[in-house]
Amino acid sequence: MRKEFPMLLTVVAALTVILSQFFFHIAEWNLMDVLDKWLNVMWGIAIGLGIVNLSVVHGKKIMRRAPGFYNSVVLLAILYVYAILGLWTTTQGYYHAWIFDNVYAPLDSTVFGLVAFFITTAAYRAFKVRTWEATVMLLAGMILLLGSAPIGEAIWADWAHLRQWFLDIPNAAGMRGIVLGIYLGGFATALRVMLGLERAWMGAMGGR
Amino acid sequence: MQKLQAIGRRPIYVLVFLVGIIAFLWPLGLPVSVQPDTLTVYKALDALPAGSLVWFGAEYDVSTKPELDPQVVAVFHHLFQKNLKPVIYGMWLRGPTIVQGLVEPIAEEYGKQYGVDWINLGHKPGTSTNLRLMTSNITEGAAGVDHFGKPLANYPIMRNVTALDKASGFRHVVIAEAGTPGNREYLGIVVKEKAIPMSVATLTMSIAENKPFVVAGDFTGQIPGLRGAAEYEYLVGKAGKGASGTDAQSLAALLVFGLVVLGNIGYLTSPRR
Repeated sequence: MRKEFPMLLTVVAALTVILSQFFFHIAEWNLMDVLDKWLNVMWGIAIGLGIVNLSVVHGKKIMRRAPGFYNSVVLLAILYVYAILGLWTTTQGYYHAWIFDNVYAPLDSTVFGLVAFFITTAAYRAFKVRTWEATVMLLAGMILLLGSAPIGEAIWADWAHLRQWFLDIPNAAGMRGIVLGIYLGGFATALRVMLGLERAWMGAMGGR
Repeated sequence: MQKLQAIGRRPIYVLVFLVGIIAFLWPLGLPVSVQPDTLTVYKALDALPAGSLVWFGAEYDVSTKPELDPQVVAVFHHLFQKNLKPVIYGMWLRGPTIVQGLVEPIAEEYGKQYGVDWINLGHKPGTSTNLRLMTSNITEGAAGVDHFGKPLANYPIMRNVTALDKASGFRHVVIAEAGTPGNREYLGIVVKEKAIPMSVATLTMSIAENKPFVVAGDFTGQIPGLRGAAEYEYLVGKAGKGASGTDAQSLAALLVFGLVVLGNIGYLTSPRR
């Protein structure tokens, strides 16, 4: 029953969603709205579970004085202090917003900004005319790179049009294939979960 | 010549840094031509009757502010110029706060009043499930309050608005997005189920990924990255950070192009290739 009940719940929920999407009469029962509200509640519970899990894992690390335990101390301190501050002053509160804007925001922007440095060196090393395939990739990269910046048009007036054509035709064709593949893969996985063939989501209880 | 393919990382990092500084100190002011994707978005919003509600999804965070903020600013200039009424909402935690800070001065410039001409519903947890709830009941989806925790019933703009649908007056959706949750959630829940057209303000790296949806007509158009921001600024007659930002992009593109050319010269002249 420990396996069967979660599987039954999954099948019922999945069928509700699918049937609501395809049959107007079932859609009128507004079961999707009910499921959505339940899911919202579960989001909240999941966050709580995440905090408990994080506290247990890092708490054990601190108790055992495992290597790098001080990182866990910092993590848990920030987690609880910031959460309590948010609950106390609300997320719109001055101190909560100040910490976010002056600590998290610059750090996040900096990490994202570093990508420019890595991409430049990566492009320099990767874009070589080693094979025909690599040459095609190099040409595509250069067309999009210079077409995306005004300097491309300053060099050659039609560069932006070439980029637009490249995005609209070869890129759209390729991306459409990839996207279809992703969705078909997702659908197949969902079907396997519904039929009970895929049980990894149940963890150790799944049995396979 | 062979050494050209073995330039170290550090000199390249220094060059990237210098390129950014040069673009910041001495702007090039290169002209930008308006491309069809951006123009389609502009025309779609321009054609909406005054007073129409436009749902604005603030689906990004601080890391992507430099690229998306100029797009948001240019779009809001357009919305207020056309007397459209934006309703801001975010599945991303910080999105509505960022957009609130950007919109306040623009609204002031056009004499638009919060709660009458525009409103911010804020971030509500639940991502796509909450977005779906918005399409059937905004009051429930927003927990009855706006970004500042004040009751929605207090605001005149929300008087006849019950859901994110055409019946409530929503004529277009614009989202500024940096990933998931983002355009795919809106595509399934709002565009397909509620038949409300949607335009996307996106990052340069997402342009290629979004293109099939633009070509298929699922998205009305997309404002592509910083370049798109510059194009939109030109269309609304408000030069801003999009135009100045593309200078840095231009110099960086030129640097990468130069490095790739040098690397290939080194490779082709190498006897070991």
